[in-house]
Amino acid sequence: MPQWKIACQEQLLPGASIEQKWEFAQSAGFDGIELLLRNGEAFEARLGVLERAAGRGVVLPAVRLDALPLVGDPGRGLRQVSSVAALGAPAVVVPVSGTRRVPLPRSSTADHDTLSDALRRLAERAAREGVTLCVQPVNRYEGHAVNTLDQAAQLCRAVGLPSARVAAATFHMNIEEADPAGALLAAGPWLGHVELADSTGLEPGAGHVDWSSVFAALDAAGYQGWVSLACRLSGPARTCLPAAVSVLRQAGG
Amino acid sequence: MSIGTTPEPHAPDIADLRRRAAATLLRNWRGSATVPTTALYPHQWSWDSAFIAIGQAHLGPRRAFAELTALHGAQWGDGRVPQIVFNPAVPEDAYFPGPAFWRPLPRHGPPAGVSTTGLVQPPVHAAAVLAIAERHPGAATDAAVRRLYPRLVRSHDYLFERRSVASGLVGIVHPWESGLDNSPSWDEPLAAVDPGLADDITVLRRDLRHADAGHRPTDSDYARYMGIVAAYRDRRYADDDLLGLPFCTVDPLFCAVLAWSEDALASLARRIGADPGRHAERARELTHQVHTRLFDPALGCYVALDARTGRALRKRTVSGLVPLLLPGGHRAAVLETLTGPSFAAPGVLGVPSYDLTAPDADPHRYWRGPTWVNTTWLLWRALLAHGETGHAERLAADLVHLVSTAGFREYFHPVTGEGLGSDHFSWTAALLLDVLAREPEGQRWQR
Repeated sequence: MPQWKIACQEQLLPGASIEQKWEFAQSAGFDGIELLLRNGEAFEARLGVLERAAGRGVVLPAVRLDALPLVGDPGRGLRQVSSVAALGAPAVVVPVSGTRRVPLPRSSTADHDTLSDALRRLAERAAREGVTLCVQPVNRYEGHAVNTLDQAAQLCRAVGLPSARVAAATFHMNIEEADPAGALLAAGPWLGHVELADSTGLEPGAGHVDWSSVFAALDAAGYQGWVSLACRLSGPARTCLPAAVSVLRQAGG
Repeated sequence: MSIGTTPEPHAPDIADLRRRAAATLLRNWRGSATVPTTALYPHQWSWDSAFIAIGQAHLGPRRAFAELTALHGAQWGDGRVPQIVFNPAVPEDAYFPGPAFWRPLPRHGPPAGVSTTGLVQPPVHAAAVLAIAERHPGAATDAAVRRLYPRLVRSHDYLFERRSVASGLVGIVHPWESGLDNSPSWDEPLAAVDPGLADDITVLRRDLRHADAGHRPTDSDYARYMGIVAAYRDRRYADDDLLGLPFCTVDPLFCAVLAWSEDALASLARRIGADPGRHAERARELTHQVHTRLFDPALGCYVALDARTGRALRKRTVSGLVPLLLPGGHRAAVLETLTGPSFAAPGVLGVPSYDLTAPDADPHRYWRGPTWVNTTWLLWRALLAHGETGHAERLAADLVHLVSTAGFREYFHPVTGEGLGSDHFSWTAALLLDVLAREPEGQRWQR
């Protein structure tokens, strides 16, 4: 079974600078750092620091844009996609969550059309910039538009561009998917990124997700992208993070 | 690839085969267990689940144990592990004979709310649990073994105590219990059964909607199968007069697998601090009985017995080779048969289910000639255990060739390799994963 490259979201890693975080990440067994932009943080302001870090060998496989506006002014989203591309990160992860950022429930058809229009604009930009835009379904308590991998895959099909992909997140799948491994296998052709958290929302190993089945499904699907820790921690990072990597590797990750 | 080697033409893509095998098992998973295949067999089958769990162990321990835990959750009050556990969400008429045909189930039947047949199948389960445990040592495995062990013991107790026939052997009361439903061994005892329902059976059968009639048991066989079930059901599945049932035989595969699994129970007992002595003794005794009572020197293999008439059912079937799994016995003679013209003529792939030189062999029809992965796998295991690695590797290469050429089929034409029966068949995928795990990737398997 292949070993996937495992990244860790930046806020979980101890260290004041991205270089210090990278040093720790490597010692804990990670292969890269997933960047996280929260609360409308201006990505452009960090770009210089991050580009220098990337130039010194810090591996940055994905950027998660938590505050990507899918309604309203499309300009900011487009600029953010371009910034990610400038950094050399191959994947932009876009969770479809939060009632402020996605349309309120009207009719599911209207939701779907609004979403697919917004995503198409971003995916077109992503295609031009050479990155993939990965739509992440979230559980029903955090969003209503896209809850399952199958819905996300349908959305990508509607967008109709190879740069539009699915980002699976095991925590949300634990709530929404009746058969998580089966759902991963079925969505395999659309998968662009995978975020890992256990059933509790904590690091892998601190819950009851069947990691062996998750990796068996990713392998059977022929998935060759990154997997990335996106969770909270049950204790100190210095013990929890290496333990989580060990859990994942032992389960075939 | 190292320098100096030439790529084999048509070498199978082992990594791709492994991925497709895993995908087959993942797709056939139904939340707590795996169906043998979606259309033809939409419920949980007993010995299928044991083979499936052996394959799932290569993907991770949890589903492997879950598969067998779900099966044993349907265990009857008398200890028997049922041949089929019906999925209540599947319509009654999706499979024949469905749940209604088997009712009423007796008080010593399955837990309330669980629907099963009243038969058993070859008890591969303890051997499967041992295989999972050996692959995944640790505290979680010990806990799973502790939960399953008492149930495995009760199912073996049921077989040794309630199914004891012919002083010291273990009997089956339906051809389906042998796992080799329409084996030529059963022709003679079946001929003595009244085929009462024969006229209606074609309408009731569901298997013919999913498979070619020429590849399945005949209507006349099927009518007799139903008659035997009805007789057992009408006695409330009681085992106190086994010879009074319309069918009662001793099958070499069933007995050999029971002895093999009983030996696995001894190993499992050691792992959890229970007493292995009783299991080892019972395994030894049954092994002795098989070797001394079922071997036919003229045929060079073991044969079934009709317990009602006392007659040997002198057919050379794959079932009669499976006692090679056991220590001692007539190893040289069986090995000669296994590698001789009946089962291994030039061009034959895997181990055919029946002597291909027999006049009544039919290389397309179910257990009357086709090669099956599970019986070939059992003999592969037996050969490995006896250090016959050359023969074992030939069988492994045949299995890889059959599946990479024809897909994850239920069975295969033993000479052309044509895929037969249903597709996406779980134990074919599961046991292929086990075979592939024994060799370094890409090193062998070419013919």
